[in-house]
Amino acid sequence: MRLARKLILSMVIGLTVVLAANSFYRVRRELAAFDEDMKQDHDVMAQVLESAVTSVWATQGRDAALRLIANTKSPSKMLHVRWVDGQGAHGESSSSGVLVTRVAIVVGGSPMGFVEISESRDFARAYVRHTVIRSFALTLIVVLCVGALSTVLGIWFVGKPIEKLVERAARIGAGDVEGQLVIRQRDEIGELAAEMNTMCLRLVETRQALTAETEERLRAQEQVRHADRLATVGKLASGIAHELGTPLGVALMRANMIASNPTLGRDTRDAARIIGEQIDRITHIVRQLLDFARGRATSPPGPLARRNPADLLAIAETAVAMLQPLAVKRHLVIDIVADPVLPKPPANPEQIEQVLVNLLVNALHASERPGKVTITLGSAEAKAPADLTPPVWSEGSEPKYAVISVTDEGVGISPEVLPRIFEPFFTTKHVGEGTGLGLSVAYGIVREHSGWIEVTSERNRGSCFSVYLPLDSVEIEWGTR
Amino acid sequence: MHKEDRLPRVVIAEDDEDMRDVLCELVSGLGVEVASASSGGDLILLLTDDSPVDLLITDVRMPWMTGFQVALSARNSGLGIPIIIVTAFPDDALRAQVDHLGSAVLLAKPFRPEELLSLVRARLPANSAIA
Repeated sequence: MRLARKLILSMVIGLTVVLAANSFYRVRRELAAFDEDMKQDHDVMAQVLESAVTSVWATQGRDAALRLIANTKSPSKMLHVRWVDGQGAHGESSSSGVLVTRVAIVVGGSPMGFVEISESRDFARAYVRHTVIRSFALTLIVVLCVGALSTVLGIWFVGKPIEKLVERAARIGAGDVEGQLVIRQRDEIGELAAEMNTMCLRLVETRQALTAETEERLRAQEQVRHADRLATVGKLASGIAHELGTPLGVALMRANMIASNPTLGRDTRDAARIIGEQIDRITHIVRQLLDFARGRATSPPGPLARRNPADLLAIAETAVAMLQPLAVKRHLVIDIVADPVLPKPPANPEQIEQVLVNLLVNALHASERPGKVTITLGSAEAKAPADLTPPVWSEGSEPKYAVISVTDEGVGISPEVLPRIFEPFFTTKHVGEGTGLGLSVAYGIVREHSGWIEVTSERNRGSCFSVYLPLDSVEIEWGTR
Repeated sequence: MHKEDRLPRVVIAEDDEDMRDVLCELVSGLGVEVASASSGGDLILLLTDDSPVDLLITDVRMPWMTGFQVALSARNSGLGIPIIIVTAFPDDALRAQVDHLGSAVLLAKPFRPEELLSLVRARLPANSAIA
C-alpha cells in the first residue's frame, strides 16, 4: 500500500509540474504574440495618422490638424490618441500596463509635435488570469482523474499483490510453508509469487524428507534401545539361570532319590516328591530363561544353510493339535490360512513350533469371548529392524522372509505395555497363569534364526504377532500346497 | 577292553561337591562302579591309570582344565569311550564342539535324574550287568 502511494504521489507531482510548465510557457508565448499584434496595429495607425495629420496641417493649418486628431475615433475604449507638443524621439515606449506609440509630425521641414497612441494592456492581463485559472482547473481535474485511476490500478496491480507477498513471506518466516500463493499476473510480481511457491514446495519436500528421516532414526534408536534392554535382561537372566543350574540339579536329584527310596515312610517320600515337582517347575523356568538368553547371544548365528528347510504347515498343524483342548475349552477355533506356494525357511522345526505354541497360548488367553485365532503362513519382502544384523543373502536373491502370523480377536495390548512384552517375566496374566517367559523365549528363538517378531494391536479388537524368518532363495524348496 | 565279569566303570568329573556326590550316588544306583574327580587334573589322572573306563560324565567348568579340554585330549590320545558333557552354558559353539568330538552328548543343567540315567544306560556296554 505504501509503495503504491509513493508511486501515485510521484506521478501526480510529475504531472502537475509538466502541466504547470506547459501553461506557463503557453501564456508567455501568447502574451508576446498579443503584444506584437498591438504594436503592428499601432504602427499601421501611426502611419495613417502621420500622413493625414501632416497633409491637413500643411493645407488647413494647425487647428484643423488638431481637430482631426481629437476627432479620431478609437476602435476600442482601451486605445487613446492625443496631440503632444514639443520635440522628442519618434517611437514606442512601453510601461507595464500601457503600450505608447509616438509619431512625429514634420511640416515643411520643421517638427511640430507628436501624435501619441496609447493602449492599455488590461485586456491581456484579463486573458492571462483567465488562462491561468483554466489551466489550474484543468491540471486539478487531470491530476484528480489520473490520481484516482492510478490509485485504483496501483492498488490492484501493485498494492494488493505486494501485500499478499509480504503476508506470505511473514507466514513462511513463521514456519508455515503449506498452501499456494495465487497471483495471476504476467509480470515481476507474478514471477516472484511463482518463485515463492516453488520455494515453499521445496521447503515442504525438504521438511517432509527431514521428518521422515528423523522418524526413521527415532524408530531405529528405539529398536536398538529395546534390543539393548532385552540383551541386558537376557544377560542377567542367563547369569542367574547358569548359577542356579548346579544347585537346582543337586536339589532335584536328592528329592527324587528320597522319593524313590522304599525304605522311607510314605509321608517323607510324598514330601520329597512335592519338593521335586516344585524344583521341576523352577527348572522349567530356568530352561526357558536360557532359551531366551541363547537368542540374545552376541555372536552371530550360524549360516542359515546349516539348518534344514522347515515345513511351516506341518509345524502349524502340530502346534494347533497340541493346543486344541485349550481352544475348545475357551470356545475358540484355530484356523490355518496358508499361501498356495509356501516357502520353507531354514529353521529348527522344534524351536519354531515352540515359538508358535507360545504365540498361540497368548492368543487363546487374550480371547475372552468365543471367536477364532488365525495362523497365516506366507512370505514377504521386508526390512529388518535396525538392531538386527541381517543374514547374508545368497548372491542375486532378494531379502525375502517367511512370515508366520498369529491373529486373535482378543482384548489387545495397550500401547504402554506394548514395548515391554518381550521382557522376561513381564506378564499381564494373573498370577499362576503364566511366567511371562513365553514371548521372551519366542523372541530369543526367532532372533537366533536371524528373524524378528512384529506386533500390531488394537484395544478390544485383537492383536497380530508376525514372525519373520529369513529365506535363502538357494535353500528354499517350494511346497505344492 | 573289559572282562565279562567286571562291573562297568563310570568316571564322573564335577567340581561342585554336592553335585558330584549326588551324581555318584545316582549313577551307583545303576549298579556300576563309579570313580570321581573334582578337577581337570584329577580327571586326567583317573583316565590315565590302568583301570578301564566305560563312560565319562564331565562338567565343563572346572578348575585347572575344563572337562571339554580333557575330553578332547582323551579323544586325541585314542580313547574312544562315550562321553556325557554336563554344562550350565549350552551355547551353539559348545554344541558344535561336542558334535565334533564324536560319541559325545551335551546335557544342560539343570536336568532331571531320569534324563541323566537314560543317557547313561544307553551308553553302557549292552552286555554289562545293570541293576
